[in-house]
Amino acid sequence: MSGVQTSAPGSPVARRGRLTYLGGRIAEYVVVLLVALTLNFLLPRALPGGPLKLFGSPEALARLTAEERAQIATEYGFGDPIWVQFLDYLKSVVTLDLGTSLSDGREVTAAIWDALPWTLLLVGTSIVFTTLIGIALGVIGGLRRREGKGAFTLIGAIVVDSIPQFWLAMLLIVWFGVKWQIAPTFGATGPDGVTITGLAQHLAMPVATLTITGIGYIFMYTRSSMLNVLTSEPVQHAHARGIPRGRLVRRHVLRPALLPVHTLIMLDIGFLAAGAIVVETVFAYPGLGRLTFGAIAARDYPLMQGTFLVLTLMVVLMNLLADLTYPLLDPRARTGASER
Amino acid sequence: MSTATSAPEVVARPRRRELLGRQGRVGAVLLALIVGTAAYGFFFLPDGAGKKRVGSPYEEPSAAHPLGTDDLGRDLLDQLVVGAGTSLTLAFIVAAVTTVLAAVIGGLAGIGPRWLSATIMRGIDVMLVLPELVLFILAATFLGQGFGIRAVILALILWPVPARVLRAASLTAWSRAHVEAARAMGAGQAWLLFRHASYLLGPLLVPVFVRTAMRVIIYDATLSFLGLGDPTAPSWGTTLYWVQVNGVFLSDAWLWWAGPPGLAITLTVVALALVGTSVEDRLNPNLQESR
Amino acid sequence: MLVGRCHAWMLVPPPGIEQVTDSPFALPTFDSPPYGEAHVAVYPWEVLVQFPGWKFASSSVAVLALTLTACGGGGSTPPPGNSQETADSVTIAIASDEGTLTPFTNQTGYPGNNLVKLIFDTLAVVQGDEVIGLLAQEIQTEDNQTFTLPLRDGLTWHDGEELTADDVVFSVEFYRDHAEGDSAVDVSMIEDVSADGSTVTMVLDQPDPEFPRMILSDMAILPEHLWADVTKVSEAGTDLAVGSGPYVLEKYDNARGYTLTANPDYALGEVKVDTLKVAIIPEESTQFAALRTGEIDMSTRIVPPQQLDQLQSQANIGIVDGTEYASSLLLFNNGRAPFDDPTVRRAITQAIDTQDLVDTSLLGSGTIGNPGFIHPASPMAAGDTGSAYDLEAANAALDELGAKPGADGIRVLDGKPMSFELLVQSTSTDRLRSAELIREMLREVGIEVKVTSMDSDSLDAKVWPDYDVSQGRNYDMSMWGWSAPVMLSSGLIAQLLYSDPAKGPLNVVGFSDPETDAALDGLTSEETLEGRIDAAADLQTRIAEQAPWVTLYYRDGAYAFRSDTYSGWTWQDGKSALHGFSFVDYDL
Repeated sequence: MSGVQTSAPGSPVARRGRLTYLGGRIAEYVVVLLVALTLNFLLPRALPGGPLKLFGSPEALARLTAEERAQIATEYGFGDPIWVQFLDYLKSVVTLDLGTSLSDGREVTAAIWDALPWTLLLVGTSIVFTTLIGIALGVIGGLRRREGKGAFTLIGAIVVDSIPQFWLAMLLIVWFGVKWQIAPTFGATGPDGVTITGLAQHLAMPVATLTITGIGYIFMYTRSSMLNVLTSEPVQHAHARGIPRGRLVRRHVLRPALLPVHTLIMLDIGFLAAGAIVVETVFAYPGLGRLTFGAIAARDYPLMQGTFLVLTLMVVLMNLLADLTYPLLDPRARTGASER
Repeated sequence: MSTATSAPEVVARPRRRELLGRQGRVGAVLLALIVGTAAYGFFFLPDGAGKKRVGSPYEEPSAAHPLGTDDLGRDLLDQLVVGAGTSLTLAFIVAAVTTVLAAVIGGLAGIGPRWLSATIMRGIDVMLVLPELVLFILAATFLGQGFGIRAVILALILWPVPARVLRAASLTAWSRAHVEAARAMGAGQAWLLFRHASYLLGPLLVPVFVRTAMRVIIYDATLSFLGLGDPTAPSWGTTLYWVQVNGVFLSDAWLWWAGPPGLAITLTVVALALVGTSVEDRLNPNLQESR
Repeated sequence: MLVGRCHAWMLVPPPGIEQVTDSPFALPTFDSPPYGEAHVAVYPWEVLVQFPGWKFASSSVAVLALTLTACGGGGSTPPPGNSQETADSVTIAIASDEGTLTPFTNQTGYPGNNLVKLIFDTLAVVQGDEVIGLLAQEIQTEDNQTFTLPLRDGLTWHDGEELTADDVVFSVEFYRDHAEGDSAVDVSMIEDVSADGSTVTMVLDQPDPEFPRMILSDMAILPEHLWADVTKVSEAGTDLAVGSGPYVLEKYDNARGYTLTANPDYALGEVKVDTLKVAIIPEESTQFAALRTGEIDMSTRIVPPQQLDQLQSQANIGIVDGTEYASSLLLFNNGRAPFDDPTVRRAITQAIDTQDLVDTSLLGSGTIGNPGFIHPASPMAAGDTGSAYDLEAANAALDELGAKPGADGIRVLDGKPMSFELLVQSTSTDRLRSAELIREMLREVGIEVKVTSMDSDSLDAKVWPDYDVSQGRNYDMSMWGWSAPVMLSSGLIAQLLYSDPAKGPLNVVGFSDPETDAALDGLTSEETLEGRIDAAADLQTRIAEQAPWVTLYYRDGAYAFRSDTYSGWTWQDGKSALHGFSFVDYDL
């Protein structure tokens, strides 16, 4: 990790063994995890107001005596000194026993486990659509750059990218849900349990919202990456040598152009679970975003810590996965030697 | 290339005169109109325009109130014009700061030594993992109010995503052949960054700026309502907030209530994008070559 | 759009081959005990349960029927020809999760407590203005201090066990030991409770004519055989959500919310709706959109006034409306100058046109605040005191105090400009808008107001840190509201004003006036309802005079429902439309 390293990013791999490299990466992520865990512990407790309000209506809480308050705080573990709470918290993270939610007495792990699959379904489906459409349009946009229409496509993408999720979601609900009644307005399943039709119908509008608002970003990034590669000297040379355009694109442009896009998408997946808060709230989708939002609003410390932990883990894991899969796409990294 | 429409002296010095191009000129005119409207609102509309009640609540558009009135009976057109100033000022400032921050930090992470790059990237991870809502409430609790504070908070919250993108781009740029060639010939790193890599980061700076500006307009309203500003001051963001909480989407009023500020934001975004992509095209020699 | 073509493929298992239901992901069947394991998790992969058909069908593809099903409205179109007086299934929407629906785990007073009360019956119930017996046959008392409550015959818990007088005694003692919980009641005034056969006797520490309304009608009776061993009440699971009420909590799942089914053995009347589904939809606009499509049949959110006309004009949508007792107030920090001076507080009260607030922020769907706080329709009300709005009087009073307007038109009092911060909850639209209007109104009399919006927890932390008034307060003025119960009980009204934090735990303004304290002593020691009402009349004159806060308005309630599914909704003051009378033909 030490030592100033000035050469190209592909080459650290060349210098050190693959294992050392990965080890370093993992060490980094452990640090990220520790910092994030500490913040996840501290930030909720810095918020004004505390979990006391979960123990009754304000009128009922008001008549609690000092002893009763102390008793509740001790019983539910938010009355201990902060460092004791922190140690308990670290222990709970290590043992993956995240305690019980203060708001409804459920196991935090159970609450998360209930919500996670829905978020993964929602986010996963959207990612597939966003990536496929975004990359396809981006590649076309990059190739057609010279035909003069590229700029307008780009501006279209910037405009689409600037649509707030809430707006699009509401418009979809009003038109497709209320006016035309072709898609249900809320929830994840129909009244008669989990069916394929029900799942698909209930996914339609949330996925459309996430996909449309997500495409612009991928498009712009892919297009810019394509342009970078297309205008690079090797490709220009190859073009000058008369290699047919189709072959040139397939063999020399796509892979290097999509490499940074791949990393970007991998990292985005990790964050999307949190990013689906708006969509999950508007469409009443029972996922992790809604759970997190509720936990923050309720000042439910254990549940907040739990959901934050999952989000952090997702990000770190996707980062790691991006690192691991990078060599599969980049021949230089795979062979461990620089091409040039 | 717009040679047909250009004046004679343009032929002599094409590069400089064509800084904008036709697209760019359209964008510039649009932008001028929007900024002009904001300036008009700032200088010529009477004090309290858009804040005073002038009609009854939920009026439909009429000659007196071309865009109708809001839920308190205040003129929506006035709010749109007055709000332009508030929204655009904050949006431009924050977008500029964020873009610079993202470019510098992302660039450093891309070309800097490994330990720096790692620190920055993992720092970004941590920043992105923290829930925005919690950060906003904390900022409101401990930092208090004010335009400056709002701008700083927005910039601090918005920089990590573009920084990550720009870092990835600078990685690509750094490994490009001509940069490596220049490096082989012993060029200084800073020089390399600015001379070559900037061309490659450029295309992403425009969307970053535009995207950030748009998000600032929306986020600003959220911040105002969480205690970081004046929720009663007209801005495009607050108008949209009231559209949202009043359920205007479910009635016909969204046409004249939600439509105009939405359109205004879209037009601003389009104008910025037109100018931005146009300038970028002409500054980027590689794109020039490829045309 | 995925379903843009309005058709979707659905896999239907071939006839004759039963679906595998013993999979770990199968939905519980109807004969599973309704009281245990009501809390189920629903996962998307349950769709795989449909696939066992694949295994059988793989030998013969023809057996697997691929059916085209038209989609539309999410498949919850109300069955045609269904009587509106009864219904098979009614879906209502609530805004947030309500935990396991025991009296200790619901999260909100409304609608959480209302839902709990559908599962747990109380000894008495308020019908119209009267308190009548529910689990108790009648409420017998001579002196408002000793209450004799003979229970009805044939009462059972949802699990079939008999409900006895011992359960009632147990409940009182349990609430005494566990004060925390949203629907937990304060039973500290019950000095002694005993059971004799099927009759319960409660003796209070002092006569309280409001006891039947405030306690007996609010205290959910708990089954001793299930609750006796419970210590951590806030972790009570759905297996403890077993009451004696008209509805049984059958299922609480993460994806669809709650399913309540009619109690087949309900002894007190006929339950008119077989299944009550409760969906959790946080976004208000989505709730009303779903109501318009018929995906839900009732929204527990008050219809915003601006949407009322539009909803009413739609076929099949009905509105049930009435008086809400929740109040909206403008609090003064009575401990902070210049609000320690009643003259200043009164002048500000006089400067606020509450009628304008009702007309503008609520579009008329509200009642202007009584300067004496008590709602004109409350059982404690004693005549209308009218509005205090009087701009001239306000200006005159401020002039008399020597508060001369400075250069910017803002008055200066004792060397300080009269410029104050007004806190308001970001989630409350009518209060935000009212705060803006109040700023305009006070500007008219030379007082500057800076409106600060914040999330409600941050605001609570400033106004009422830790819900403990003895910890002081940190604000100038704040928008505020009290829930319905506060308006209905003289005891709670007294808690708003007592200067001693022990007696006045709701005194968030820090009001302190010895004469008022004496008047409150008089009020709470009155032994008859008539006596209390008279004393309350005196009190409200005193409140109007002292102006510890400004009572701005009381919102009216209006709730929308699908009349084509079920139209039996009735209004009960203080409970709105979500209560037993909407679902049960009582035979009391």
